[in-house]
Amino acid sequence: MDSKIQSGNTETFHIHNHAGAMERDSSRLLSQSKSGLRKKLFRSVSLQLAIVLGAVFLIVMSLELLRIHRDFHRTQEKIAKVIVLNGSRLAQRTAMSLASLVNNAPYTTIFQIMSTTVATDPDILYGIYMDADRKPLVSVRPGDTLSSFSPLVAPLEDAMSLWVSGITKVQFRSVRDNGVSVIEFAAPVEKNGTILGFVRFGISVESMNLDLHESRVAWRKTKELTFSLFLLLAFSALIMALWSSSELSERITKPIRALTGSAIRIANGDYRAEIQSSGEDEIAALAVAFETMRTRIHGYTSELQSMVDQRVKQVRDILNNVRQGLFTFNLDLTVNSDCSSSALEILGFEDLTGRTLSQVFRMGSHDESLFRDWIEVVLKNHQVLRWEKLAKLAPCQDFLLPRASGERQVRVAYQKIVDAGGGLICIMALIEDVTEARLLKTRIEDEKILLEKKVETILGITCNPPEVIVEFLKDSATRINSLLQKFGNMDYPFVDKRRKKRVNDDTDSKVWIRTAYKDCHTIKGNAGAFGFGTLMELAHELENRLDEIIRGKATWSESFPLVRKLIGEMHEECQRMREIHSMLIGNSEEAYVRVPESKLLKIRHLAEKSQSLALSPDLLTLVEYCKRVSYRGLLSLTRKYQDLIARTAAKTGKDVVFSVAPQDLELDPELLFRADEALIHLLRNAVVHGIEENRSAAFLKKGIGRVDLAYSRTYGGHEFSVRDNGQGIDPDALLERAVASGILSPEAAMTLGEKDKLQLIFYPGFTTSEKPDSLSGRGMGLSIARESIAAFGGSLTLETRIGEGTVFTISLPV
Amino acid sequence: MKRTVVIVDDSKFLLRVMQLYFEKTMDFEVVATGVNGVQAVELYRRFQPDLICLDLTMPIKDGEEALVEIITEFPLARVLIISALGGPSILRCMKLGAKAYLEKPFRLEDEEFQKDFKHTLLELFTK
Repeated sequence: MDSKIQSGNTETFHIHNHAGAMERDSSRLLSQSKSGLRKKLFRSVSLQLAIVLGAVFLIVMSLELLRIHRDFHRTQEKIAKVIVLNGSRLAQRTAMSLASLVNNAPYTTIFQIMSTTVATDPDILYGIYMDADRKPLVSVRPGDTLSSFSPLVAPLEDAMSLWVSGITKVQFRSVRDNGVSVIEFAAPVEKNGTILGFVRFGISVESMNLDLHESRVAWRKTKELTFSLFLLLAFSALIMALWSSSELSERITKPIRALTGSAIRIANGDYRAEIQSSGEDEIAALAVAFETMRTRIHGYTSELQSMVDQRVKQVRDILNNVRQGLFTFNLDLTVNSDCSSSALEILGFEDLTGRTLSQVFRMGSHDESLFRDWIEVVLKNHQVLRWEKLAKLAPCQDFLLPRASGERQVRVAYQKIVDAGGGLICIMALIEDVTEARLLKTRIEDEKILLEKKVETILGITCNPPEVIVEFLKDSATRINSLLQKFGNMDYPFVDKRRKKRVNDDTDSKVWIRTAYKDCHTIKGNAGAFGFGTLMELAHELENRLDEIIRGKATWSESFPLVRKLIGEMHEECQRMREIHSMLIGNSEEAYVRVPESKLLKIRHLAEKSQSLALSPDLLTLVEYCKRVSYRGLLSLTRKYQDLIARTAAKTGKDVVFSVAPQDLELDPELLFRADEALIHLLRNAVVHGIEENRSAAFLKKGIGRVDLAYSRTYGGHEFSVRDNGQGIDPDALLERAVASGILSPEAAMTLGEKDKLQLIFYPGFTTSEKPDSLSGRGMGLSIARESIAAFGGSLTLETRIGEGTVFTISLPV
Repeated sequence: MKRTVVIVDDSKFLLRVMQLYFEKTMDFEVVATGVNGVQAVELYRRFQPDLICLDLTMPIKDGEEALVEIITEFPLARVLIISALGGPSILRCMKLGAKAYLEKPFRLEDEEFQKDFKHTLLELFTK
């Protein structure tokens, strides 16, 4: 889990890194896109503006130039007209004034008129008067005087003069005079319809050309001015276009840029910034759509984020609170620094950085090499075998970790961590400090056993008649004390009889140890009957040890420590039982008889003694009552046998009904006490050996197993009978068993009659069981029973019928 | 073609149980059974079965020695260790080249054990 979180973190980290790069990228992208779009827009708008402005100014300029050009030509024509008009008028007037004079006036007068006319205008280069025969009379140039004049006689023969001699009215023609452009105006001088001669004036067109030149310069100036104005205007228009288009493109691109920025932020996973939209154009619509999308995504992502945050917090909480420590280690056994806080706590480190698994787990070189073997096996097999199978082979699954505060029990589970391709990356260790749990478990188990034993004891004490329990406790205490005395010191009073196999040697040592055995056996039987399991088990164990000594299977010195220990434990157990008894029942002496027993017995004794003295029938009745004061009902007296039967039946898994008869008969407890030991054995035997298994009983259609205890008064005394409806005893089987176990020689066996064969059952050590257990089986029970009855001068006999059952009869004298 | 298997275990009873299981439930052909490590090596050499089941604690020659001999001679042998011995012994065998392992007691009546057995056989024949 941790690893997932770890990897999750790294992933987040990666994303952040990535985001940083992207932000950088996007800002670059943004600036690029800004300049790109702006530039494009700017360029296209400027270009268009420039073209429009350029066209406008071109048209304006062309019109202007055309106008100037037209003006120029008009001026030129005007000047030419003026020159022609003036020249023609000059020639006309001069011709008219000469017409009246030519025939009459002297030559000087003509000269005078001509030179005066020439002198009137500096542009007039020359003045000629020639007669109809083309004889030049006057040819004057500015500055010429009369004195310098010499009349020409020969007619003029040049082309100009020829042309002039042909005219009839004022005419003009341009000629060149001394390299100067001249217009010659000519007019005929006529009188009364007769041409007398011709007046010719050469007027220079240089001044006119000068005018024209001036006019042309002016035109050129205007043209240049217009052109530069156009340029200026175009330039300023361009500047204006640039400025205005930049402003425009800025206005267009600004929202787009804002939108682009938002888009990039969203692409980077930042959905927080709101997208502003203004206006109503397409970009604004786009922005609105964009904002809707952003809001929705922001909603989703913030919900997701909060879910993730919550989950991460949960995992963190778990990690911080679990008692399990988590860390990972690599295949070279180096430990990674990522781990849960509990791991550090359990392992006793501040930090796992740079450590190896051997250090962390305090492994020895042997464990370490085992671990390396394991890693090798894991690497070889992890893609084929189930992980649980491999994890099971891991060393160090459960070990003691030495800590300053004491050893800690640590449990480790291993988990592989693989990459997407299934390759092993590292191994996760889940460690848990189970010291407390282990201690608690052991303590609880101990306490449970103690409590169970205590409950067992309490049940035994409370479920049995108090008087019987007191009797049992007293009896057991007496027997245990006697055992304590016997085994109180190390010295065994007799020779070790290990070599002797037969146990029927009637020696002192045999009696000595057999008494101990008998005591032990009785305690075991009684304890079992009342349900005091612990005491019964101890007695059983002691019985085994004593049996080994009796059979010579163990030496005294070998068994002694254990025997003594067992007796000590039995003593303690008995003490404990007495404590519980006194706690539950109170003073044991007064528990079951309101009248103290001694007093009761005294009354009884007194009554018995005074029987002979009793004279009246009333007194006799009193005496009889007194004698029976301690008598009790048979049913009540035999309650412990009921429990014994029930318990034994439960243990053997047989269904048994126990009955006592006659139930209401009152009996001297002393009498039952004498038969007690024998009855315990007989009743238990009846259930264990007499009654068949449930299955065979059902097969035989016998129904449920029955054990009946009956009392009867006989002529010579008392009789108890224990009857079962079991399988009966086969005398021949007894014989076979006796021969097989070496109790009887085959020869002796041949001589035995049917009744004698049955008597084998009372033989000490004779058993039909293969293995002794807590219920029976060592073959001592019946012999002890017979002995105990014999001790009171009684006898124990049996009758049996195969398939029908067995009756044991205890006869006791009065 | 049925898959073949040689079973080696020093308990004749267990051999019988395993043979029945392999034949009836898993549809294997039990080509031979042996009771010690020497037989294990001989039987493997003779039959070269698809699988050999090896007990570890056996008389004359134990399972580990037999495993080493078989793997040396037949590096691709599929050896399944079936043993009551704990982790370290099995780990050693896995390192020596056993392909999988099963832990005794061999309780076929236990559903978990049967599942483990079947799964292990599946894993053995995946490659």
